[in-house]
Amino acid sequence: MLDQLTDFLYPTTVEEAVEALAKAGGKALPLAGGTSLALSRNARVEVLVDITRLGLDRIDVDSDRIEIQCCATAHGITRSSLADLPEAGALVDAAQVSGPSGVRAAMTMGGSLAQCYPWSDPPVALLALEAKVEITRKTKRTVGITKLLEQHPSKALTPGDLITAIVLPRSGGASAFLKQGLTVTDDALASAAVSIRIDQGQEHGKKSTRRKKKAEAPQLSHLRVALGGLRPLPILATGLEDLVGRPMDDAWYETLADLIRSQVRPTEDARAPSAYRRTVAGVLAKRAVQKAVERWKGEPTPV
Amino acid sequence: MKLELTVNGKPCHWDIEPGALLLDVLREHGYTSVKRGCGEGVCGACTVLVDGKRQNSCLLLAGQMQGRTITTVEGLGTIDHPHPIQKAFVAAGAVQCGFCTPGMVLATKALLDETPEPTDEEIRRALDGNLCRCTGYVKILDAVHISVDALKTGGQHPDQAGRHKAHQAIEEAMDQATKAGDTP
Ligand SMILES: Cc1cc2nc3c(=O)[nH]c(=O)nc-3n(C[C@H](O)[C@H](O)[C@H](O)COP(=O)(O)OP(=O)(O)OC[C@H]3O[C@@H](n4cnc5c(N)ncnc54)[C@H](O)[C@@H]3O)c2cc1C
Ligand code: FES
Ligand code: FES
Repeated sequence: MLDQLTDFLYPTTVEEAVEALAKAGGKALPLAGGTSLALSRNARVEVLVDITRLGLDRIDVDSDRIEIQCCATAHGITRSSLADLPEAGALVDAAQVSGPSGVRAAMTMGGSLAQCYPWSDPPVALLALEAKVEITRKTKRTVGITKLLEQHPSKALTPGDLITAIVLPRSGGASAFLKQGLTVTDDALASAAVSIRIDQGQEHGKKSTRRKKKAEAPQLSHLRVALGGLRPLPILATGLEDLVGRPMDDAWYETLADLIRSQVRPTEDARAPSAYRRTVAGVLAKRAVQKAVERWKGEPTPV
Repeated sequence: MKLELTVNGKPCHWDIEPGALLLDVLREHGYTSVKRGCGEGVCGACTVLVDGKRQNSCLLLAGQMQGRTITTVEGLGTIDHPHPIQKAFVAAGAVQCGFCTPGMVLATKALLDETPEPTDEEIRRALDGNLCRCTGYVKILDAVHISVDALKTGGQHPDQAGRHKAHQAIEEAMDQATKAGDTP
């Protein structure tokens, strides 16, 4: 229980919210879905600023960007137009398994990123999708997700900062997320999010239908892999450049899994040994790329 | 602190501890259909509808409910006039000890308000946050299907004729087995 809590504030504009947070200094926190805060024992919190009345729950898809406002819920993501967009697939997959249905109905994308537990799912997808995070206090600033996750986001955010939106660039590719837990919605023991673009270079100059292009063995022009559940924060896989532009045969997928396994040093705890997490991370990365390719081809991809 | 909200259509003005959970506050005010199971967001026994959306009341501070509208099972139907979803749970035999039932019924209501004809997969996902330790879930899925049919026909009581295809299939299979003489 938040023993020191004395007051709730219910601002209706972003300006009021950031002002209220600034005024209370370190004693106030933004309150979004509450799925973490309701059971928190943070003894410093005296004021909670309810940010669910600011009208910040929209998800807008434009030609050059996707804007997800901070109070969009995991459930909202799965029911939004993102569900039909192959490039946003990783975030939709992650939102679909971010805890049990009652949690998904409440938890917000801003709250998920600010809280960022080792097993949190949306931040892993956002890292693969090269999200930009819009942070508002008196003025707005934008921080790239890779930079934001260099340390825990709570350290990068100073008291009074509000994550107001998460912006994804339009990639025109496809993405996917997979996690391994004891059940579909269990905390991830390991997770992988991938974002790909398919190279259609071989087709240059030729007239060919999209259907024909899709029937050929794909090669990637872009590959970005993020891993979760392994370390306190999501990790961006490195050294994958050589896989780009090569035919994606069985050996390709094995190389990917090997590269992932060889670069991660997962945490060991009561839930799983490090070696298990390492092996699973390789398998998940491989399967997530397969899932993204299927998604790009327009094939159904169940979670 | 003062909390003003609407519960089952009734305006309420309550004095609450700022750190109190919605679950505890509702139960203290007599809404005891809202159950404490796990107390940490996993089991769904504490499900309520907030402005029509399902929420776990064990993961909500009561203070978050300022000005909101809450529905519990007490507000859904009465013993004499149960809601079609409640009737469907009875018709399907989806209630054993009943501890999970208020949450299941409200989660079903939230699902069907949003998706009137869900697929099996959509039903499973919508109810993956509602645990039942008695029924084994099959009859709960039946109950949701019966609810879909009942709500389509304007809340008619889901009688034998309206029972879900799964039941009919089981009954036909049993009939055939009886005729073939290989009943257990
Ligand atoms: C049983 C259970 C299972 C779960 N399983 C998973 C899972 O498998 N995968 C997963 O990803 N998540 C899971 N979660 C959700 C996760 O643990 C967090 O509870 C959730 O992401 C917090 O989101 P919220 O909107 O409820 O945040 P809140 O509880 O409202 O806030 C959490 C923190 O974020 C801060 N905050 C909130 N919004 C903002 C903002 N816009 N700007 C700045 N700071 C902000 C708050 O001040 C607070 O410090 C689970 C939760 C529960 C209870
Ligand atoms: S008591 Fe709230 S989810 Fe279990
Ligand atoms: S009927 Fe007993 S827990 Fe569901």
